[in-house]
Amino acid sequence: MTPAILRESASSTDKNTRVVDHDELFSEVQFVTAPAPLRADKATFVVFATAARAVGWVVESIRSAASSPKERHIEISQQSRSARRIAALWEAVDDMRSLHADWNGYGSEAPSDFARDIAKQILLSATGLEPSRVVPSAQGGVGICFSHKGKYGDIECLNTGEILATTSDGTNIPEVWEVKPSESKGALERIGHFINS
Amino acid sequence: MATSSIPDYPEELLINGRGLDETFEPDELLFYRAPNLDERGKIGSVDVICPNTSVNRGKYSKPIHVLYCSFPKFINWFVLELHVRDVPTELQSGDGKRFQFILVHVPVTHPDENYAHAEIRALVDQQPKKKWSAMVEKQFRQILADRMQLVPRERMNP
Repeated sequence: MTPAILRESASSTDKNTRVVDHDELFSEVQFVTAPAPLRADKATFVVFATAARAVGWVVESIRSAASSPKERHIEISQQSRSARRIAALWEAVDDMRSLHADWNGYGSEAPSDFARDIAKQILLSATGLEPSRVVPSAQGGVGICFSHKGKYGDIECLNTGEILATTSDGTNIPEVWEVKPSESKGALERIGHFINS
Repeated sequence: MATSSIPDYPEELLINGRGLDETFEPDELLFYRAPNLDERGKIGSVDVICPNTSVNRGKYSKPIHVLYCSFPKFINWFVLELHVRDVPTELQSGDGKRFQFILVHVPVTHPDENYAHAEIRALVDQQPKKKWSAMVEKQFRQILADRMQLVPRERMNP
């Protein structure tokens, strides 16, 4: 497999370039930031990802953090945590390929390759709204779930190709809508607005 | 004869020549299993399958019995419960179609004998429907998930 070359922002030196082999499950990537006075401490990021896009997303997070030098240290730490979480969820979706039909004893289908791919794409958009869990859907597919202060939302990528989203406060009739792949960011925003309101 | 590989399989789950009982009182509990819960200690629509949502009847089983299916595959899963009255009686799709929901007693013999097994089924114009509107299904699943509560540990005795 071709290794991905991770490069930092323009202020970086060649020392900031590292090669990450996609086959490494626990690839350690080190970034040395720009010279003083903008220099931050060396940050170490453990990337739990095998897929190039997940690794790319982590790099993108770091790039955006590096664009605000004043808060760089804190932002890198927060974004790194969020990136690690997304990467771990990505891997959890990947692991669902080992599920068999009737994995829950209720006759559910295992998530298809298609459903897993769509779920992984949506995870990469979930930069501002961290999912609480990702699960194989009992309906056949992958569920990306969010919850906060008693409120719940999810985006469900079904094996049928449909993507459905819901929000619920647990008391009233839940809202349900269909999501087009190109609209997943809008669905995430709607869920985020609901569970944080 | 107990048709199960589980030693000391619960006697109450065996059919033993009993017929169907289609009387579901509103206070009867229904049990469902799930592999994990969120921070609220609840499940979501993604954890519920429909149509023909399988449950165990509280009238004929204990909560833990829902984990005995394909023993010991699900023994570490969570058990959730809801009352018969919590199952929505009707939902309407965007195009105005009305879906009614009914409980049907469906004892099973495979993979393990289970007299307590029941299913929540949907009717459209009084006719059973295997495929519903995906949106109605989703709404139905979320309503069930919202109304299910985790069975407390002290009630999980065999």
